[in-house]
Amino acid sequence: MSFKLTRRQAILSSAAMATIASTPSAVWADGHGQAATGVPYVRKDQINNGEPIKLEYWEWSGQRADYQRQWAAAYMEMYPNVEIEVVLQPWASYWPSLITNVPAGAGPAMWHMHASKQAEFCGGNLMDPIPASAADPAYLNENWIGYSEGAMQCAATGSIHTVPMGAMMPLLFVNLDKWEAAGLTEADVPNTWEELRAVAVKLTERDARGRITVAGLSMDGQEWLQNAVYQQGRFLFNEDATAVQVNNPEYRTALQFIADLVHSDKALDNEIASTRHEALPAGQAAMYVGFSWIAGFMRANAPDINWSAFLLPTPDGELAPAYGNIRFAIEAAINPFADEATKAVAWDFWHFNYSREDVIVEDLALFNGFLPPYSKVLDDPRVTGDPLASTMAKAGSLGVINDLPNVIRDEQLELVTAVILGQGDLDDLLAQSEEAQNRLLAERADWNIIERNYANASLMLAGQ
Amino acid sequence: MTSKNAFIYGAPILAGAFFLIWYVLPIGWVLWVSFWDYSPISPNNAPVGLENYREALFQDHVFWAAVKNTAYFTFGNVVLGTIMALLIANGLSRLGTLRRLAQTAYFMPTLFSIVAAAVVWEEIFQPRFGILNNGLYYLTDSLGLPPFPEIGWTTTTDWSMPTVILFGLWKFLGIRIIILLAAIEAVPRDLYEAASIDGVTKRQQFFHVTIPLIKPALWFVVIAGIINSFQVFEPMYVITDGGPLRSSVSMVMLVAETAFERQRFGYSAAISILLFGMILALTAVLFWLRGRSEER
Repeated sequence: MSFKLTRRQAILSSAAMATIASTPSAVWADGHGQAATGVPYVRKDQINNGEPIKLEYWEWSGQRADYQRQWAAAYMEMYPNVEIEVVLQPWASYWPSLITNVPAGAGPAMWHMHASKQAEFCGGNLMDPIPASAADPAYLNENWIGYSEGAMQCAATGSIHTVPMGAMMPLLFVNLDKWEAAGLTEADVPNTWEELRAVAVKLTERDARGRITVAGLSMDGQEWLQNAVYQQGRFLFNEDATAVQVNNPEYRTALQFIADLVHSDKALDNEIASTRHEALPAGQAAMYVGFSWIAGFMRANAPDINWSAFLLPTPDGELAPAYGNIRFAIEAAINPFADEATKAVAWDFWHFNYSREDVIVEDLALFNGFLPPYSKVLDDPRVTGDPLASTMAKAGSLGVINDLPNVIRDEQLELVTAVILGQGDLDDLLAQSEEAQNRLLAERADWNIIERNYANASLMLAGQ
Repeated sequence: MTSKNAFIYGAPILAGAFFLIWYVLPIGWVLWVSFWDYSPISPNNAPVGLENYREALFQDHVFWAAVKNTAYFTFGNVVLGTIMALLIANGLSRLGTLRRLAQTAYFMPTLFSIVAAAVVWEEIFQPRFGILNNGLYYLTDSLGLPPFPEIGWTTTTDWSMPTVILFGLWKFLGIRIIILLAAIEAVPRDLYEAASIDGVTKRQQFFHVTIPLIKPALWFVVIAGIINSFQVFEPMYVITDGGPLRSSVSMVMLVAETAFERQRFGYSAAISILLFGMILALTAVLFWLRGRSEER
């Protein structure tokens, strides 16, 4: 095995992060700021004229809230008149609450954002644009992955409201104990789809009744589909992003892989597949294909599982024409309807956080299983020494930067589910899905679909 | 104005204001929005006439899937639920010392938070590792019966709706039993005694004495059940998330999804108005039927 992420390593790395995060006042004591946003953060004598002010910071993940509270504590130590409360909101009510509260002039001063919601929030002007005092757009464009491709801008206005916390790519996650128990070695790590299927068959475990108890390979079907189509050189949308490209041989081949895995190889079935990303931490899947955020999920929910991650196999073992999708996770967005004093403090807090390399490298990226999107830290030993980040970096140049509209993701998942359930002929399903996806795509004109800005677009299929 | 007069005039004004603020205005607003391409976060809201209704009725197959699922749930929950509640209430009315205990047991699920209960049931229904399938398998196996097959309660299109209905029966049966039990207990005992003297069997007493005399309560259970069932949301949302393949999406789920995930509040409002119309029409029919049955 090339690397292992043991529980001990995870604990040690968390402890190191906590230590770093707990000493920001020392970092800022001499007044020198790092300039990851292009504008150095300089500690002020006071903020908000020293008047008391309280900010709410919404988050849905308890894991992230832990380090956000540490940031808030560090900031409040510098400015004792400021109170920042990190409020955990359940995912189910998170977006409805924001969408209804923010335009009404209520809601939190800042909140953890999600890339899939960017188009809606851009369209509704629900995020304050990054002020010049906090970041230099030209610097972001030059030094942060995704900016030059347009990943962070609002499609209609071109304005920038957020900075990514990390770039994620698809990986093959492997339960190493099950791998070794099946007699597999490092030489068996699959590079091609066919090898992946063969290994999946070997890893599948069944009970006395013949039912799968451990799927050889499970996946987030939508993520598999999207990446498998890119790997074959096919974009998901037409050139001007007004229609999807679904009813084509590449989509069909990607779905046929799943159909074969489920119906021929019997290395996966609907009962395991329907648990999606919970299958790996629950020990119900020996391998799992998903985006790298699963790493953070595994560390939080399955610290006892000995796992590792590898590059996703491709049809022929080659990373070109494309390895897969790169998408971003976003940290904070600021409420544009908050009063000016609140916004000023919120942006200062935002600037303070994004000016610290340890936050950018450790908390935001590596802790969550992401590659830091700030190019100047890519050769940082913490990044090069991180198994996940270094694996993703190998394929980074062949990643197609894009974030799918959530309605398209949902329809892709429906399509995969239909294939797994064996409900209908593949060609019919493709035709139906194309129609459904186009109907949903037409509901908005301002989706930020930027896949055609892929740096190696010339390697993709011609004339599509 | 004396305090007595203030009360006399103030109470109807307060009641009217309450009705206006909490019923008339919201319904009017939803009706208004249903003619718009509207989202609270969109700067480009525009009137679209009947377009949202046309899309729902003639274009959106998910809308019709939701209508079908809602009707399916209503049928299962109301028809099966009412028959079961009636039979159980009748049985309980004849029970001696254990009646209070059984009554409490049946009523208990009504007290649980529906979301918490649905989360627990989701685990129970889990096809591969859940207690229901495995429990039934081991039970049939140990009794030497043909082994109980693995049923994809929440993961197959055939079973998702029956599963939600099963949950609904468990959750909503108790309150119906209590209502019908109270009605049965209110039937004068001497009617049963007179019937017994005339040689009427227990079964005949049930159909010819009990049911006619508890009709108002039965109608209430049916009408309230239909209205509540048409508004079903949580069981589907938590247990099946409307899936797989939209096989258990309800109309209220679709309203929420359309508004909050697709930001199409205008279209969502149109679906709400259609749902409101269906409930109104069904309730009107039921009240008419009730009136006719009372005339007989």
